[in-house]
Amino acid sequence: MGIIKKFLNDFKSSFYLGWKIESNWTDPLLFLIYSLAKPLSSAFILIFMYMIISQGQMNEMLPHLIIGNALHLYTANVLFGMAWTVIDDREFYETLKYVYISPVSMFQFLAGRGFAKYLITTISSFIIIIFGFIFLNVRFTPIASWYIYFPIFLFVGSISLFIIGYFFAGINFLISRQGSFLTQSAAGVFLLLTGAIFPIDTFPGFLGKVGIYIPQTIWIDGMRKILLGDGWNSFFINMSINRMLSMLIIENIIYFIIIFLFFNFSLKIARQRGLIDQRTMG
Amino acid sequence: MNKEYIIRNLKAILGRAYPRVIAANREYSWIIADIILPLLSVIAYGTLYKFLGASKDFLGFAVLGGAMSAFWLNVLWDMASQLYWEKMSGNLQLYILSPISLVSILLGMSIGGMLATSLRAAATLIVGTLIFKLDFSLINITQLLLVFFLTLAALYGLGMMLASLYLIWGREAWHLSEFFQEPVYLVSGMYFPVKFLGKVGFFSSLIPLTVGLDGLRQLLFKEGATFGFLSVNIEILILIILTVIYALLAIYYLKKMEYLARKEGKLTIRWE
Repeated sequence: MGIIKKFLNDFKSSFYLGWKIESNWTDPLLFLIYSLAKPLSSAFILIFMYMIISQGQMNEMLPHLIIGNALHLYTANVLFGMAWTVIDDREFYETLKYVYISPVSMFQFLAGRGFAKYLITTISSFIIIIFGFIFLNVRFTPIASWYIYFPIFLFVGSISLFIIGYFFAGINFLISRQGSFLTQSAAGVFLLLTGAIFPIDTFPGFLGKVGIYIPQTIWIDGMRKILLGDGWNSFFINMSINRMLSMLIIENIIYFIIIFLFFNFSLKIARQRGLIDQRTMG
Repeated sequence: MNKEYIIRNLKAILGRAYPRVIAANREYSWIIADIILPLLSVIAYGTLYKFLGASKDFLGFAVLGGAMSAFWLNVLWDMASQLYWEKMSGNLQLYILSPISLVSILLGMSIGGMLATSLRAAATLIVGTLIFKLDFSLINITQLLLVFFLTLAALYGLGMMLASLYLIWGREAWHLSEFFQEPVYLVSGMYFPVKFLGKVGFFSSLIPLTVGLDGLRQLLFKEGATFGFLSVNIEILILIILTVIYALLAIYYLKKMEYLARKEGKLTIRWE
């Protein structure tokens, strides 16, 4: 079997497994409601907060907020999905050890599991944006050639989600039950530092600068620029979309190299210390 | 009901509350998680309010909501899901075999949960207050204490009722808790005054947190009354009614669950 064919086969199997774990506990309609309730509620909380303070007035901030929040869902869910897989399979299903000894690479396995979350999140994000478009009068004012930049930016940004997901999955190989807390906190920290619901400049000094070095910040602001004509973080405001894309690609490459090494190191240490089949959650 | 039975049940309440307060504090990562996770949301929502140019009282609304969300999380994950998890770990059959009432077990869990979560909620409130430099203006301390304790009583009554229902609903307990998290934050006005939800607020008043939080905001912040949903006295009355209703329903469903579980022989079955 060719390398690519094997890769796709492994990816498909782990994606299918992830999808089944996510969805087979109930009927499809209830699963759809369940999948949408959480992200839509978070989005509506933000929309209500905005509407209350702006006294129902719409201005350019709302579309930025809606797009930022819709894209942050990807960060939270893919990161959580990949990192949680390690804990879930190790602690509850006790199958991580079997995956480890199977001919499937852990790298592909986690990508497939993360992709199941990615697809579910795509539905939620799409609904949030459509809702904003229909009911809140959000209008897109895209840049020229947006139809070229949009899929490219979406793809490159999505890659960054998986790269960060590997980082937290790598950490979870090494730690015990605290992993669930770490993963949830990480999603919260990303919400604060990536400028998803307010510009990163809102934070003073150092904290306001950290976001620049997180790929998701460039991704979210780049997508705003593509769809709305401008972003809202001062660092990127005068930056061309091509430059933002280059910056995102460079950050992706740097993060990938570092995280790939870290991930393999984590797996090696986990094996040496016998952590692959540890049970610490009851 | 003889004296010995009452003493035994009081001991059971104490025994079940003990791990909630003492044992839970042995796992430091849980303490940090319980404080940090709501705090991250509080900082995010507070900063958003700040960015939008809201008054300081709105930041206070978000901080208070974040602190109170710890109780809702505790009710969902440590009350409602608990009997199901006890079944999974094999303890439920021991509870039913022992010469005590299951109500005592749930009451013990509630009291322990309330105490432990109060410490975590206080930490969120203190840190949030320091970060956003909040101004409180206490209107009436008696009403404040009454609203707070009635909210907890009604909320944990709801938790006791859900514990039985979760057990009947089976292995979807985990998903149910996930499902009831954010949507309840939305409909109960956890981060904004529930008044703005209009008629939805009347339905969400069935969740004690909705009226409790609204009452606390009215009694703690200058602008609280302006954005209040109902008058504080009416909210106190609603909370008393909810406390009684949920307590009665909890006892009813507990008996029903126990009967069904015995009849269908499911008390010892895991993963169902």
